[in-house]
Amino acid sequence: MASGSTSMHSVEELEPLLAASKINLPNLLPEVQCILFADDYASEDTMLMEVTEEMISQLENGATLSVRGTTEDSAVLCTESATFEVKLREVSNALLVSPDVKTAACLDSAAPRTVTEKHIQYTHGGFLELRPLVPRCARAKHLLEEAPFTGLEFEFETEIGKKFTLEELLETVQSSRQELRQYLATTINTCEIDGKIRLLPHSYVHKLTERVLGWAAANSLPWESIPDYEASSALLELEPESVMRDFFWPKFSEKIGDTLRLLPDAIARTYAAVYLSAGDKTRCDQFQDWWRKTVPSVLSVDFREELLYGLAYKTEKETPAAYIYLAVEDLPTEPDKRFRRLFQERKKWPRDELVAYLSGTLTGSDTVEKLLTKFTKTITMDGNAFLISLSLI
Amino acid sequence: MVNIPLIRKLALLPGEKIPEWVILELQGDLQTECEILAGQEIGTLHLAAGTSSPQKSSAYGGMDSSFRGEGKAIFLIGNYALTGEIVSLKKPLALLRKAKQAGPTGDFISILEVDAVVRKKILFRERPRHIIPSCALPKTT
Repeated sequence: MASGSTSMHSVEELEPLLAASKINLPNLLPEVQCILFADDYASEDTMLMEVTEEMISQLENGATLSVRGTTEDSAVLCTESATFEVKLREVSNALLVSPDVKTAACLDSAAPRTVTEKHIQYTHGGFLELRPLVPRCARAKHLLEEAPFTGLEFEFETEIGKKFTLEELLETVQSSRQELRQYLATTINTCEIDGKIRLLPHSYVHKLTERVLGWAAANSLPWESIPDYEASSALLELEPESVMRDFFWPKFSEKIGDTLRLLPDAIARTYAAVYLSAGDKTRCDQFQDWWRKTVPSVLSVDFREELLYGLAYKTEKETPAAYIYLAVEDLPTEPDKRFRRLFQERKKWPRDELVAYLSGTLTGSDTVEKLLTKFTKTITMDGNAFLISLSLI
Repeated sequence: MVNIPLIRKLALLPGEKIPEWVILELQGDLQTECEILAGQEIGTLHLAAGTSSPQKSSAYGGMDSSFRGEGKAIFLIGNYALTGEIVSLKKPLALLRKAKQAGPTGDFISILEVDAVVRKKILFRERPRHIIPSCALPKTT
């Protein structure tokens, strides 16, 4: 290949070669680019990565993306709002990267014929490919479980574990900032207390609920219409302000004008979570009996199985029937692993119940429909439609 | 966990675009006996002018049928001719370079700098064609 000479060719010298290659000379652009390896050619410490135009403009505007790798999992790239798995894609071709080779559009077709020197700076045999990934936020839950918040009165216990700020979590969790925030706000129960993100266990949330209901009853306030200001301030002395302001009211009430209306279904579900999470399996008749006696009658929430979707499911054949505790936030986030796990738990699922177990597993252009088509098949039994695993067929 | 910031080239001025580079994609590998590649010549690259009506025949005989029109390229490497074309990449490639930067505590931390972006490549996907050596000898004048 390389002639070993760095001297420039003349146009005349190249003519016999071009003639032999049977290229019609008048049809070529007048600038001949003589390609050399750059004097400081060295490919180490560089790599090519497939990106999007959006990422380029973010970078040009000064944004910082981050590459996060752990020993257990593949590396990811995080932008402010999305997470991508980084995979090396090797190609059988040689990719010669040049800072100055010109493509036709930049060359003047009317210029005199010349030979110019152009350089190859790096050679690569592949590039890094980005694939949209569900952020690996479950790690945040494991970390937060080291020091759950169970009330101010327990904060001074010595065995309390490490607490984390959002920034500290981002150093360890393979997720973009926006996705982690979303996870902390919706998938699990957390609140920022004194600058640290704290996990609020079901039992503590249950305690908060009881306290709010007790306080409303004591003050003859209907649960449908709790004065906003009064509600917050009255409970402040007992709970950190942020727990009520940032967690409890947004999650368990809706704002109507100046008042807050509690959400009975969300509260009832909290009660169910405490009871069901205490064991792996609970007999259905016992659970429904407990529900009637325990869920505050003032909220008048009649038991419906859909209230347990994503929290527990009913056994298929066992007698007596039982609920198995299975919280959606404890399931794998990758779609294939999620479906495998769900169909290990139960061979056939009613559609709505299965869909409730898919939250937090959608990525990029995925939709629930696409996932269901990819992993499941509909069958009809006794007039009822169920989804079964495609891989079992 | 390793956490490496990825940023635009440090030397860029605010508002400046990341430079755009080009890739030459060759089938297989380049083989050489030279140990040091820096400064070595590879070959010459010839691009076709934008055309509509390719001229039939010239002083050099019949025109290569695969070499017509804008976007086509010929890469002459030694006695081989590679025919290729300019292709826009579906997704741009960023050229990342490992670098060090002073961190908040004064220690140097590893970063990745985006030195350049590649949106176009010249793809030589066909097998190199051997040029008849007697015709290919450079003039000795």
